[in-house]
Amino acid sequence: MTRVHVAGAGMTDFGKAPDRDAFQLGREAVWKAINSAGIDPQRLDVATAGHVYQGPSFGQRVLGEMGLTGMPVINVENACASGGQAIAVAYSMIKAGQADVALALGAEKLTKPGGGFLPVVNQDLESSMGRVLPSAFAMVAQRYLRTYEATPEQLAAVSVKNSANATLNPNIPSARAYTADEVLDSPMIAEPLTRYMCCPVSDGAAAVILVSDRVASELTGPTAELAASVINSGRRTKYGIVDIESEMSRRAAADAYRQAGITASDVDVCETHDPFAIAEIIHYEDLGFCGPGEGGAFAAEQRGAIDGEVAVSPSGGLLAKGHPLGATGTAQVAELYWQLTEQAGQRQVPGARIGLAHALGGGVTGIESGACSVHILKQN
Amino acid sequence: MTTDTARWVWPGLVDTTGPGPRLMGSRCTSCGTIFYPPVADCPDELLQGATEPLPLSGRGTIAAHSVVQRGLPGFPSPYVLASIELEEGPACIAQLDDVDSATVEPGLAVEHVVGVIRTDPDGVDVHGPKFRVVERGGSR
Repeated sequence: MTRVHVAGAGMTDFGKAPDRDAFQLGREAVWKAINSAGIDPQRLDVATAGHVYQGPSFGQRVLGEMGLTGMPVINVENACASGGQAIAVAYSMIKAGQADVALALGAEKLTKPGGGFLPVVNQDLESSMGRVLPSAFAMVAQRYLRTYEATPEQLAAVSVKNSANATLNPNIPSARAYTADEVLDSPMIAEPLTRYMCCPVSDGAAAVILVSDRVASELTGPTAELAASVINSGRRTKYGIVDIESEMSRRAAADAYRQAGITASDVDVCETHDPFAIAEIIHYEDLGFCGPGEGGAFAAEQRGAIDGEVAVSPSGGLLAKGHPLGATGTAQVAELYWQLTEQAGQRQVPGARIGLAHALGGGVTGIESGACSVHILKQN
Repeated sequence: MTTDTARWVWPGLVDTTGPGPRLMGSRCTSCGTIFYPPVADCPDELLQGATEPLPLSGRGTIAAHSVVQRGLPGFPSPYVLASIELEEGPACIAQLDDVDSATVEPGLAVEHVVGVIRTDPDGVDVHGPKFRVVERGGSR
């Protein structure tokens, strides 16, 4: 069975894009990915398109105008893991021998023309009861701080790190490095989470090109092996979305480590699902970078810095980039591709050989969360 | 008013046919697991239609809470949202009714009341289960 390789990646700026729609954003990301791979676009065997709110046949509407027509276009929705899901579908098709060259696109337009944000339609019980995500994560933070005697200063340390990383990422025009005091003194969104501990609302798109062994050997540009691809769904847990560990993240990471034949200590660079600072702290533990209750200290000691034990969110993470739902998972894998092929510029993690991308989300009452994706890349 | 014609946030959460509104869960007739919100099947045993309706005590304790300063349109912002551990075991997320957020802390006893969850764009109030802090020294 062939291995799968990432052969190219492209992304738009992440931020508010008042003058551009999701189709324009998507096309920019796809062209950049194709050009990055140096591959004839006619060779695409399949395209997948991850998004949540962009409507029917979104992928075809992006690709049709580019002339990329006729191949199977698979639109996938899996909440915050839609981009990861798009990559997972493309990965499976190459593994199965159904494709040699696949495009995985993720895109989302979350702001709307004229200001304000798209109303989120809820078919979920807890959402109908008034559960909004900043408050859900505030409850997570409240329980975590109380259980482990963690502190707001430890939460702020995550935002300090990620905001500084973001200033090294040319795809985040709004990036600014915050001090701990600035983070703690920014307006309270949902106690103990201040504004700079919450991700901004962003638009964006990102795409990657995946290829089989055969095609990888023909290409002259750098590739990275996609050594594990895992998707799962949440199980019934007592506190659901306000639990202080993510069972599904732990399960997905364990499966991915097994697939890739590595352990958590082998990971050099990680893009984790950090829409709120508390999420990154919990995921340090879930992904195995430290033990239960040690995430706060891990953050405070900056063990996740670019020159730390494992670089976490060197791109700036969701905290700085925002979380344009469908684009998040593909942007994470794009970042890892650049890191492992030494194309990450000023935010390059020295000697990065193994990367992990983790996305998670989708509020579904009764289970922890809708979907989780974990991908592991290895330097070729 | 919470009559038969009232608009409810979700079907089956509250039984209003008796003398007072009862919070409703469900229980698997096979394994005995209690669910809130109620489910038709037993997800623990993968048994179709295995549960029966179960009136709950409506009593619980606060596991965590958060003040929603600016909720979605129609919600009574600011309001207090809480994760509540029900006496029968399940946990749920609901609004606290008529509460001073400064006094809320984990472990506080609460009880179920019916209240307005939000107001729809047509001006109609949407009812559903909320929770109220139990006064020290007993409720009601």
